[in-house]
Amino acid sequence: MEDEIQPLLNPTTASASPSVATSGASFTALLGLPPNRAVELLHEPTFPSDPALVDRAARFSVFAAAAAASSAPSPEVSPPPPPPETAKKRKDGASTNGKAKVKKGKHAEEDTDGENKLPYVHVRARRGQATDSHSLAERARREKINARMKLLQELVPGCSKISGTALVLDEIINHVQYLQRQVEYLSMRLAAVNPRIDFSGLDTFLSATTMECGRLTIGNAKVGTELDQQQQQPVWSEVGVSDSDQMNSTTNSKRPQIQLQQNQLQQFWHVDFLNTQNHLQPSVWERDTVMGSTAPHVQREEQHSLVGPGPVPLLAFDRVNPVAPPIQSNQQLKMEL
Amino acid sequence: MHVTKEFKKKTFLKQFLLGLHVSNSISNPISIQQRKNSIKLSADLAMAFARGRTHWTHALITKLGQKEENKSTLKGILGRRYEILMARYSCPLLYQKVQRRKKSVRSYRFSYNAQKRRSSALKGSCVRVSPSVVARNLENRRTKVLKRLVPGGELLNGSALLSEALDYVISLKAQVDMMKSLWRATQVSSSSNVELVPSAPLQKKDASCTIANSEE
Repeated sequence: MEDEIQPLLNPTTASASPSVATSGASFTALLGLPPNRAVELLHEPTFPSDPALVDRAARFSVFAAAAAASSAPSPEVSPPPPPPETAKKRKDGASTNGKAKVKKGKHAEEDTDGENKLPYVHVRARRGQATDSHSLAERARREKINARMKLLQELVPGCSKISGTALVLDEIINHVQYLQRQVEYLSMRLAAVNPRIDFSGLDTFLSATTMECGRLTIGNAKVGTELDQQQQQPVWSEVGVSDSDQMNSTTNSKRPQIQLQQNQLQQFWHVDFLNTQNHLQPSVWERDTVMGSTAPHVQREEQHSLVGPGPVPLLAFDRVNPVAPPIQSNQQLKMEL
Repeated sequence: MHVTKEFKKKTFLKQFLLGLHVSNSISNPISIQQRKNSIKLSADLAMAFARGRTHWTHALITKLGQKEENKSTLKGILGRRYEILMARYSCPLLYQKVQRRKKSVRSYRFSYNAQKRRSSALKGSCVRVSPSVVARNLENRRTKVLKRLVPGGELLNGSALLSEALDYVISLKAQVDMMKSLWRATQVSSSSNVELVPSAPLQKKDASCTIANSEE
């Protein structure tokens, strides 16, 4: 037995049969995984070299007809990068005869994730378990599900102590329902308070407190020609309504409100989205894509609208150097409902 | 998960405030329930937009767009993009699949009852169901409930459902946090009465609170 194992220990790269090479490489690739994951899969706290040896020997016995020399990796744990390989499902039936201590690991997903679109899933059966392809695939699926459940357990508070899938699912369901109820409750409260608050002031508040460059862009904001800085005459700017030329006029008559800070905030968003444009997923969803096209105009003058190249002209701002004037003009405003 | 939370909060806030403006302008004379619904609509829409393209966001927007009472608010919020988005997100296929699934659920329940009946017939009055069946049954029931909760969950299975649920929980948490902070901001602005000093960012909220106080 030992003299069979010895040649396997000699690392040879030349005449490696692909199956043995892959199995060897994948095993140490398993060891190269994050330790907890690999441990969970192997159910073994240490990584002795013996399993590697034993595995090589097992394969040697199974693939006796194959090339004798194998590129068995050195017994120490050195994870090679998973080479592009043709992994195969392996029947370990023959190998269990000779080896009493065969500990096998299973790494269905991690190995295949490192490769590019292999047709086969390289898995190994645990000791004493069925090795046919169906149960292997099922085990792979179960491992995936268990990994997700672990993540969910970490996310939902108070779930890490619970053991068992059904109870954890229970907690997750409760948490989702709780969050949804909170959304309803908060929207109800916001609805109750909504008519009293004009959200323009809130924009600047939130932007100034949450984003550091808010001050800068507010400094660059411009006040429109229609609106004198100290003037009491507010003009409603339709921020988001694009088809609203008529809406502009109606709300002008109904509820004249200052949108000064709102537009400042828009401008801020213009500038900021310039920076985040590369991080944005290219999607038609957000108005940023439209905004991004108008971003170069930010510093200049009018026509910065979230709608972009739309027919709605918003306020144009003049240069406002200190932050004080907008606040003072806000002071003088009356908000009508 | 795939998109940083910082980015999401900005987008969410912008979109949400957009929706709030629109709901303010449109539904002002109407009841508080409708205002709440439009606020919730804009919040969900903002969350879906901020998250990006995932299965649940797709399903959520589809669901939102199909309800009749939402359409006017949606038109207001999305503006010109309404037609484009609704064309993209109207997916009758979604609900056909759900119909098909319901039949299999019923058949499963039937088989389970048959098994119980069989076991009770064999063993007399007490029903002995093996623990694995019990566990499986519990888990299946929970999974069904989860499928109903997560938007678009009826079409998913197993690990995909769990990953979508994970993503959804994260986004919900962020949404709740943002709405809470918005709520707190309105509270602060409506209750405080501090004198304006123009140099600190803290004073900007006083600007809004003078607005609020001036109309009282």
